[in-house]
Amino acid sequence: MTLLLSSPALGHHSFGAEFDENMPVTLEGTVVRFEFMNPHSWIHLDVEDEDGNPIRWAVETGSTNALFRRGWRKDSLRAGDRIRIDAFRAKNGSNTANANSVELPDGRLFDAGSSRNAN
Amino acid sequence: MTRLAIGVIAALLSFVPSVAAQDDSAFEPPRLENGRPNFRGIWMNGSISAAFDVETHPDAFGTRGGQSAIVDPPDGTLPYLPGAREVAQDNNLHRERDPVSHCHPHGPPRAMLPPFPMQIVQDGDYVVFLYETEHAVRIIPTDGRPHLDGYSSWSGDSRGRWEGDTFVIDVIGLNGRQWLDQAGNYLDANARVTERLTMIDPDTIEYESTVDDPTVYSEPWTLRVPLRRRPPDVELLEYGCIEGDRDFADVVN
Repeated sequence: MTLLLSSPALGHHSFGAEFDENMPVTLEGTVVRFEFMNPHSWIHLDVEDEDGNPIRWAVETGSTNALFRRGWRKDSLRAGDRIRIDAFRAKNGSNTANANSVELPDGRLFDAGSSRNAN
Repeated sequence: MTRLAIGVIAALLSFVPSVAAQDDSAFEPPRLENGRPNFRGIWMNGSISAAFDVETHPDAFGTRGGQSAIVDPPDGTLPYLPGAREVAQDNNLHRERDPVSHCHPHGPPRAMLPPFPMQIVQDGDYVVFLYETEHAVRIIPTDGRPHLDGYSSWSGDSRGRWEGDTFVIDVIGLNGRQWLDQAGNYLDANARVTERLTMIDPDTIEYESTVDDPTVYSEPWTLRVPLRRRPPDVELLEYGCIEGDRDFADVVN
């Protein structure tokens, strides 16, 4: 697997204020819903806890436009897909995070559109 | 021939080409039928760090660091009046106030800074700026008409003119709620913004913006960033920002 390094988002809102660089998290779970929208897209997924109970997470990515220009398409994620996301957790302790990269079921690794260089 | 003479000749030979190169460096822009420089195309700020903070700032989590985009004053520091920098610093602590985070237009000069493309359309007497973010549009007449009377908005009222091959835009009528960057630097409704766009090579427009705002700043100051031409396959996309303007709680639920 190739590791893609991407930089934090140029936030529509304040990225640094809402997400914690000291709380990186890797989430492996099942896609519930993919909201392909601006100014940020959201991936909703269920991650099983130690007892096998599904815990719902919402993970923010870049804008639709940033994702599209990186090769994402509206159906890149479908409900039921197993994915892995490297992200930073929200400071407020909720099950939200900002994605750095997303690994799809076929092994493709997508930049989460958070690069600060181009959209 | 002495070593000194060889050195002198070598120096002359190296000097002559550099002078010639300097003469050739006056870039001749592509032109429209009306003789004006052709700025048509899709462009984007080439100094993205300015979108985070127009002054010099370090790289940090969520912030791309970089040198100040302020070229005047020469020290790159915004010449705030006493007390005004404290307002900016308070903004920085409350970035949820940032108008752009609520999908409002950036307004000039910030509109030129985000890492999203903008398109320039030229047609007759008009120069039009189409910004992807927030779907902001600036339709800038160049026929010498006066400013609108008593108008106020996020992007203000723009009037354009050509000074040689430089397109100059005079902007008043800003609503005074604009930030200049994500760091909370700002201007108010008394600001007059003078923008200057000059094509310096086929793929670069130098963008300068002078802000004269006597109730926030002690003197006019000038920001400069390069606008880089985007590749031919880049086109403006919809940016329906309000759809995603919601709190975390709404997202999770």
